[in-house]
Amino acid sequence: MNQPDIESTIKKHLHRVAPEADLKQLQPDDELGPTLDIDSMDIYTLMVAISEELHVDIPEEEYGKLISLQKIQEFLQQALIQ
Amino acid sequence: MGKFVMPSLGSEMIDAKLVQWFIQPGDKVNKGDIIGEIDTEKGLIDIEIFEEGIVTELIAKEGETIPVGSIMAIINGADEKTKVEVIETKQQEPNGEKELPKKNGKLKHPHKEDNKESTVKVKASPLARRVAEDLGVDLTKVGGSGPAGTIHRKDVEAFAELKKADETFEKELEMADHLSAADKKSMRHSIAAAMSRSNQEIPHYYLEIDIDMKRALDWLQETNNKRPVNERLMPAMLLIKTVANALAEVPELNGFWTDEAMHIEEGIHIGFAISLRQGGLVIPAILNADRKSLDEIRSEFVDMVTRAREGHLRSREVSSATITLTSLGERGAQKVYGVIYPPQVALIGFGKIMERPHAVEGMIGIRPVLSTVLAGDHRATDGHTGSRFLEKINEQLQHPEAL
Repeated sequence: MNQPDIESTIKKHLHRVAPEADLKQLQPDDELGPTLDIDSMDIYTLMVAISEELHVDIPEEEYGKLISLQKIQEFLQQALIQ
Repeated sequence: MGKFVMPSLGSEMIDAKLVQWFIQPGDKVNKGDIIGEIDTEKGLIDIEIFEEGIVTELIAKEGETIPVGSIMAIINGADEKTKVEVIETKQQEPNGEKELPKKNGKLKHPHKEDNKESTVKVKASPLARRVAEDLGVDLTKVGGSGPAGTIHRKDVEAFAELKKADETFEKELEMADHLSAADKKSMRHSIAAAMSRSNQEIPHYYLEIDIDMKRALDWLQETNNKRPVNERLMPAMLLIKTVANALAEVPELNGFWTDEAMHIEEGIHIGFAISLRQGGLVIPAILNADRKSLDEIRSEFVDMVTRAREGHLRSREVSSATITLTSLGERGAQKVYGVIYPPQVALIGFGKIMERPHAVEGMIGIRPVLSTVLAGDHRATDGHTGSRFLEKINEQLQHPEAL
């Protein structure tokens, strides 16, 4: 899976948890919570959906670090190579 | 013979609009079935039935506004199956059929036509054709993985799965459109009415305590390390369980103030406030939370938050809370002084867990601290009871492994 695919997968699920958010305005290093006004429950839903679609486990110690689009993308790229 | 009436989902509710029935005359219904959807000041709510039987007549019409307590449908007990009902069913059926294509029309019609064409143009294995017919898949739209693009069974099944996901997505979008400006206004109106009544009638007292969350959070992390991402626990789930256990020991705060007296409820139903993105909030309850395991609470919590945001809470869930819990989560303010939701007599507010200097065994350390504020109805209880309750919550959170 290449980078644009990963990005569009993340954005697809982001759109589901925050349908009204303008994802085009979202910068790669914006913190998702405050920028999109989504809470920990939304992040949880997002992470579960991504991990299920891509068959990637997200270890607990990584979970807290995945705060921006870029961070999630980097993590998934690494995880998908392994 | 049973009459199904418009349920009351709160003391401020006067009426609600029936959006759609999920049943028709002749259908058998079981306890707990969702039989329709109503549009209320708490958003779209799925209504459940609490008896078993056969639907004889639907009195309320879709789109109609029905006062609380008015008859919406007649349900005959399961043991009273009579021939009359069967005849009635047959007469009503054309009606029901007319309804169906309207809702699924976009999806169903094109497929029927396309299927005929597909048998001519498309290269597909016989098994794939049969599976496609069963699943209602249009073969012209499926990409084949075999030689010369021949479609195999697995291609059809993969396509069907994708299509199902898209349909769900479409439904979700429709649901979002449902929440029009008018609905939001009526939810605002209902919150305004309940909160004004609370402030006028309930003499609130407030007690607060700082809880050291180090042990609870360490335990949470340790537990989560061993779990896949979809089974992990969040602090809010711990808090729901903690409050339920504490109420089992201090039941005086669990119940309603009605007719100038306190009525302690046996069932402990923890309502938790969920703010909706489009504005307003809903308070669904986890029923009998004291008797559920942490994992049961986790899965119910996740399910309810999802349904709350889609507008699919059930009538019983939004009308049963015996106490309200509000948790500000990891962003936001440090403390919340809540307003009790009448006729309940207590509201427990959890702030944001913050690293703060905190004395432990004669030493000052930096600990994750959770400010917890109890709002109590002074007609029903006194500060002494409230204090005991907060102390129980604190004790529970110091032994998270026992939850």
